[in-house]
Amino acid sequence: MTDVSVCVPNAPEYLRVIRQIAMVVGAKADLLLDALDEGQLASDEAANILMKFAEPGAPLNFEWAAGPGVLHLHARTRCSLSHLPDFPETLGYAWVIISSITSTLEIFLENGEVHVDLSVEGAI
Amino acid sequence: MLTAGAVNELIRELRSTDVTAARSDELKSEIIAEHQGLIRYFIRLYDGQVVEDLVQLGTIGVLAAIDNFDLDRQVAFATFAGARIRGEISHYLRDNATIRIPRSVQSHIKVVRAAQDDFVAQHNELPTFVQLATHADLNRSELFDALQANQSTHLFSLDDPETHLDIAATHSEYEFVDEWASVQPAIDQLAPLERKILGMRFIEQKRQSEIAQELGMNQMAVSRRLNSILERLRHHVTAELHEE
Repeated sequence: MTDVSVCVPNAPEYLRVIRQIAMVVGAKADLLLDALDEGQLASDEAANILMKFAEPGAPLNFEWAAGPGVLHLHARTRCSLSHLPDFPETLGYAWVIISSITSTLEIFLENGEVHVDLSVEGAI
Repeated sequence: MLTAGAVNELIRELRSTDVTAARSDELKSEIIAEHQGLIRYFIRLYDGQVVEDLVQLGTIGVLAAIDNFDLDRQVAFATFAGARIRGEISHYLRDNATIRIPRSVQSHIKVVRAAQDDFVAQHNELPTFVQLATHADLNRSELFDALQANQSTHLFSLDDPETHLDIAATHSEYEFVDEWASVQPAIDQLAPLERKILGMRFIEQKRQSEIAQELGMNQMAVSRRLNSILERLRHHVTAELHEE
């Protein structure tokens, strides 16, 4: 179940909003403090991935959900690619970061959209 | 006070192939200490009110100057380093001119750090958000504001043990290769402590709380550092894209 959903233009200045929402939802999940931080970071990186593959002018959609000790994010945007490139190679260091801080991570194409599904865990 | 020639000798030794990592750190610390007066001079020129906080940036300027100084040019290291120090400080003040953290939030940051340290000492683990709010006796909004402000504050006071950690940081043993190639120039500009934190988190895959414990820092400080480092790496990538 989604706790917060937001649609923002594809522009870096909106990253701050994404981070703030991730913190609020992460707090609702009562994450440990470092996981709270990494929930923000993962949301930030997900946004960067969408920005990279979005069609020009396409907005970015985010949906967060809080579970007990876990933050889920489903992010998506319109994408004109027919298949996604190899991720470690395309994303470079950003891949190392997002795959290090997430418990689950899936990036896929569906119905003309690129989707990022991830979760960050951190409970006692 | 060292002469210009003596400083050049320290840099020459630093660049010699047989210098050990420990000696390299010693030499850097000596050069940084030698230029503290210069750092403070430039800070006073720009913003007399936050002298202590900007020392850290000045130190980064000196480290960058050490890496890039051309010993064959007929110019004193202090002149060259001055330009780097000024650059670091002016860029920061320009980029952060609109960020002003209210005094109440600043005081909450201190309360939160102390509460977190106290919680970790008592329970030997990090608190969750709710536990920290309770322990710090702050409501959720106050804690949000303090945590957010903590992340946007990249600077440190001279009284902060982190500043000394930065200067005394051992040479980073981490090699950032393969996936990190696109941000290598930005990694090269990181202070030794920052390289260490980046390596511990993403090469060794340690959690922030483990890094904090190993380095004798607070988790919030590690969080702030990581955010600052990753922001700079991203800026580097963005700048590269704009240049293409």
